[in-house]
Amino acid sequence: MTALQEPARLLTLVAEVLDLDPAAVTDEDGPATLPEWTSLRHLQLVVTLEEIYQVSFAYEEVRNVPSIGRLRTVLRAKGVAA
Amino acid sequence: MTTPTPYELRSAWRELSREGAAPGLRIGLLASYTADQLVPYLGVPLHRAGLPPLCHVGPFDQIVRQCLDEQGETARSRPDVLVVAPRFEELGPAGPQWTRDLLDVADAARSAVERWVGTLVFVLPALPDHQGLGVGDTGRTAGAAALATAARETARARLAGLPGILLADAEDAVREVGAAGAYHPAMFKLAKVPYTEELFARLGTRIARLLVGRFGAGVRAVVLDADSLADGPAAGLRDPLRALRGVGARVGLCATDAAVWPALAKSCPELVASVDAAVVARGPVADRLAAVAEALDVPARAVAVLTADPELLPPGAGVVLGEQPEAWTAELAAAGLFDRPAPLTLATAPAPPSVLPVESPASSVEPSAVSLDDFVASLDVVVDVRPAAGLLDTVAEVVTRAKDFTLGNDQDADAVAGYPGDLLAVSVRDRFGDYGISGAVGLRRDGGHCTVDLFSLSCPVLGRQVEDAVLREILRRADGADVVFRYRETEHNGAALTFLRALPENHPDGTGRAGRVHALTWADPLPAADQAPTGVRFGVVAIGQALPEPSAVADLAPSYTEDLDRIRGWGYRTFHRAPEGVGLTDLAVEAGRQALAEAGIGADEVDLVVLAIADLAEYLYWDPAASTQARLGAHGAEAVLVNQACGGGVAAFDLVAGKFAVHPAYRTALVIGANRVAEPYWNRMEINTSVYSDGAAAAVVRRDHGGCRWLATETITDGTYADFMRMDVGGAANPFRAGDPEQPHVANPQDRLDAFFQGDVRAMYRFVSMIRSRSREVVDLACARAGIARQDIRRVIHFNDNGRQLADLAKDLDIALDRTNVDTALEHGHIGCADQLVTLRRLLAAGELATGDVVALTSTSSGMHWICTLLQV
Repeated sequence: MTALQEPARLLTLVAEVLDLDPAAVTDEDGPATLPEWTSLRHLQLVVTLEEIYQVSFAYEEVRNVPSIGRLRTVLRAKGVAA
Repeated sequence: MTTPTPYELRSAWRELSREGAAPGLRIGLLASYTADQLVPYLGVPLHRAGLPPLCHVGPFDQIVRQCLDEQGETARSRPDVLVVAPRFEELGPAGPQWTRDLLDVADAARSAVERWVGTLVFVLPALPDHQGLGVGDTGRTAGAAALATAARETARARLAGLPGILLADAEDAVREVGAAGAYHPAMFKLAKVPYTEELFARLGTRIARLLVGRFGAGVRAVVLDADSLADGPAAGLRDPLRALRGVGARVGLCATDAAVWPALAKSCPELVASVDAAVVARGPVADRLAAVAEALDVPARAVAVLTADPELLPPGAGVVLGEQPEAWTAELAAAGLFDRPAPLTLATAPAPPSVLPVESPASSVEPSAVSLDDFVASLDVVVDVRPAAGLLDTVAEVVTRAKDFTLGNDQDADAVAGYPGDLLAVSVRDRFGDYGISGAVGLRRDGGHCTVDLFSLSCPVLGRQVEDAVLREILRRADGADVVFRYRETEHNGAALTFLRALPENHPDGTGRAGRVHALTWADPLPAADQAPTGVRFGVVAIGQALPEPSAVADLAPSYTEDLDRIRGWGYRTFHRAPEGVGLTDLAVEAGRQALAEAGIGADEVDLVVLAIADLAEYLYWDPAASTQARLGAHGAEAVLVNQACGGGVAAFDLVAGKFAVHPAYRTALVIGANRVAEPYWNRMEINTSVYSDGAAAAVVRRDHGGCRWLATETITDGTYADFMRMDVGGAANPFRAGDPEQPHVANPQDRLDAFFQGDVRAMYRFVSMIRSRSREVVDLACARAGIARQDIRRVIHFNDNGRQLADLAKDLDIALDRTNVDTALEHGHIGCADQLVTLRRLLAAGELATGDVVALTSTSSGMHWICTLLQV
């Protein structure tokens, strides 16, 4: 398992894009609980995950993301050990 | 040489942004697509070149409008540099009009920077990704590629060589990345972001290089690190050096020891023969570079280092040459070492090459003649506003996604679907294309005015005066009534608020009539002239009640339910249970008599009896209101039965107001709320989230009475949920049959939720959320009607809900819990329609309300209804 595949890596990436302390975010967090998760940051998050995990998201997968946990599920479905 | 990845550049930009360097260059970005993605890739190289930028990204697909509008946000940001990046894909279907439209964009941008005294970076659009006939497009002189090329060349000819104008080319960036890696269809659908980050990175870097060449030092000289190059690959420098010489760069050599010169001369004699300076220097790298720069007679910041030693190079100071000398020329090009500004031409734009199949290169309007009105008129915008029935899914999608132009009232898909008024869909098309359903409006008539609390437009149609067209339609539908926009300010809805706040109070609707327009927050009162009609004035004279003996919830709960923890969680202490044989009208009559006695008014003086009930009366096919009237002796009174479930006691005040308005002779009314749980059908501790009680309360109200004066009542009704509380057996659809093996009853809330929402937990959550938001909304509507702010309410008397729900209500209304009826609620249980009058009676008797205090009687009831009546003590 590489560093990128560690579960904590996803939280770190989200925190980095949202400019938050990684310890302050959990899988349950999402746009409803994190005011920093604006629509623009959402775009930045999507492209960052695509780049880091070398995946490509479909529209339906990123249209309405309720939580980080949901992102993790989508990534795992793509074979990423997130 | 390693190129930073887009992710690394974005991370670097975040770091730089945190540092908050004073901006050296204000950059405005206007694109026909979402261009925010470009900022980091523009920002990092500019920052590293000593030009820390402050970027303002204008609204997308509003290039011309923003360029022409001196009051627009781009004009107000007063950019030093305006970057304009159109795409053919947003210029409508392929056709010769591409040339005209692209020139209009170019002219508007040029006109803007001339007025703003700035620099324009015009990004020539890339050839469209999708070309109609696929490979066959190449063979058509009127194909998409040919038409796009003609338009590009015409625009290039129009702008090239003009002072203050730089040209970039998105096609260059596409070519660098490769078309297969340039486009991002999912991001485009999500947010009109057409390109990949890789493409944005290339484009941003190219634009930055142009700006560095114009505003920064640029690279005027290169210094070769002889120490790292002498031994091996110096011969590979031959071609790059020739190219550097070709653009006028000076070349210097730097070594720490003169012993390297012979080796260098052997591997690349031309180099040693042609350098402008050769310096032997030791010490820190910066000092050595300074020495060479001085020898070359150029500023040190205009010098780039070429080296094979990565350790030598400070960040951004030059190029670490790769292992393949044959790639060095390309590496230097990628690093911008050949960048030089295009030469200026004093004449105006030449005609495009005649071989291209173009229209006349002349723009439809001269730059200086372009006006905002001309531009909008040229768009041929058509706005269609029609009822949203049958379009709810699309309308809900538009409403939930709109962030910039919205009233900020948090309407989710369910709220849109159940909108309690006229819901309208807005469709837009112009000569660039059909945008489909692009907005929505929700409006409702409230007395003398028309309230609009839903007005959303999607970004692609902004900047086309669509909002003005929709406003005219709203005014037309208001039919002369005042229009009141109710909004909440969010982080993003500045576009809508700017529009609303700029509206003149008297706004023509296009038919010659002028309705007044008000843009108000929910806390703003209506202008006085629009408050409740002054012709109907009445107040509460006295309140009576009939409550059976209280019973302890803890004692009797086990006889109703096994789920005692749930009951305890609600917090009820006591409740009222009528003895066998005591019916609903018995309680109503007793409360009515007491109220009349306390008011000192005889039953024969009563003109109107309103009986509100939430449960079944004693009999079917029988009017309990009429029976109550008769038993009270109010034989001259009109009797009305209100059956709006638990909200009936609050809604009854509105009914009295209406009756008083149309019956001038009516002076006295008796409002009674009564409840008697029909226990065979309702388990009073399992039917809902309250412990249900039996009892009644009655209020005597008189016209022109100044105490507890009625101010307003507002009701929101949403019949979508009419079936939620129903009992399936016993009505005409399914009458009771003798010998049914099971006693019919109303199911518990969880089973009803499961059945109604078919197990969809998210739908259940939205339902609960909607109930709460409408409870707040109806209070705000009543306040607006009464001309007061929500903060003016002294007490909120809701139905006797459980402690947790009342805490939620207090939170939603932003009031302290002790300003609700929580104490009375937990003391009496939920007495159907009588709750609010029982609490009001107690507060008045206890002196907890002072003259002038405003009290809100509120309820949520099956139907569903949300009701609020405001009284002023």
